[in-house]
Amino acid sequence: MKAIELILIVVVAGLVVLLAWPRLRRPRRPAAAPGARRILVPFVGNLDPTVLAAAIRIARAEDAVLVPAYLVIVPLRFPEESPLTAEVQVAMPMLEAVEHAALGAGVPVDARIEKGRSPTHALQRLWAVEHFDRVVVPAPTDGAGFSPKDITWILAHAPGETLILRPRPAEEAPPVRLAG
Amino acid sequence: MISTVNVQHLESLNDSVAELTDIRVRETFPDRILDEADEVVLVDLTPEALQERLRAGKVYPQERVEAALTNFFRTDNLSALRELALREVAEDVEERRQPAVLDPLSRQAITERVLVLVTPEPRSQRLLRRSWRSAQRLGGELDALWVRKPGQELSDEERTSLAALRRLAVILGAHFLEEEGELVPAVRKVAAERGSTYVFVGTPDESRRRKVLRGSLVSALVRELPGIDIRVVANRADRQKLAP
Repeated sequence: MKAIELILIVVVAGLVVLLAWPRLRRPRRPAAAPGARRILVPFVGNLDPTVLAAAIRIARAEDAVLVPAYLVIVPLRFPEESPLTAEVQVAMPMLEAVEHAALGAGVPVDARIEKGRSPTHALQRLWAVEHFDRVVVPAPTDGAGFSPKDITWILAHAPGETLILRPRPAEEAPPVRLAG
Repeated sequence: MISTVNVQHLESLNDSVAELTDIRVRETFPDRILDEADEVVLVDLTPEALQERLRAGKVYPQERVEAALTNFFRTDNLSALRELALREVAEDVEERRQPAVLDPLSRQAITERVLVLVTPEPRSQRLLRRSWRSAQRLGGELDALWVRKPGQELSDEERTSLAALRRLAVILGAHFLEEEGELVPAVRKVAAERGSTYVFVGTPDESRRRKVLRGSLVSALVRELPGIDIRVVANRADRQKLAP
């Protein structure tokens, strides 16, 4: 091999490393593979950290995309398509925290805010336009979140496997780090 | 001139009133009349007090009282209409707090308008939400723009993401815009048309090669959008990778 060829190879290799280096150093975002399974975690008002942690574990085990969906209820006094800024103000930090926890755990996340006249109506709207392989639902707790009637409806109508997770009582629950 | 009106006759509230009361009010007046009034004063009354006045024959003749009480003048209807009236007047007061001395040009100069560049992928959900929060703090409107490359075909995932972005825009009260062409010229055109004062972009996922060959997106936006603030919205989850 001539010296000039050797120099050329070294220069080309150096250029390749130089061009690729920032990409190698850039923090990797968890990215979903095309056609990856999608796990829906719908919630109303609040999402129990124990349920979230379980949903993240399931998504990680299945290489799935976690889809946390905050369901906004549109009061009858407003038209169905009206913007809901006050409700969204509440949803924003919740979704940020959920996304943060999922991405921190290396799970790709694709959050949603969906609205409807009731939690089940909002879910129905979401299921009508998006595909989900599994639904992870927090069980009813002390009047918050889904009602037993909602859960019955979800079990009957969910488009995929449904998992109802009972949040642990406060005194039993270990501290859960939301921020990964 | 002094006049009184019932809130259910305001044109923009006609649909809300129909939903609340199941009664479509046919006699409406344009909102412009209220906007042009020098002063708007709320005459507030509890539903019970209004029903009392009705029973005393101070609203309708006695023979119509019973029917009215069981139809339009039900407590739930009156409570909802009262809430509507309170909100309407509160919004009117808020609008009037804007300094009246500003000419249209000055008003345009102080009004903020955010334009966020989205793409049909999951991270744009967060980008749109974060931009909306900033727009709220700035008291400005939010436009979301997706620039489709000429002839670009979308995958199933991208179509789902795009539809979800549109739904989120509706919930947030943002305007979703779609353009076809090259990104930077399209942003420039839309920013000029909409009077944008801020442009929000997600962290560009650009290779060094692209930057060398075509320049970075952010530099191009700074160059092509003079007088407009450019903000790069990072993924907060990446902060934990900052630790030394």
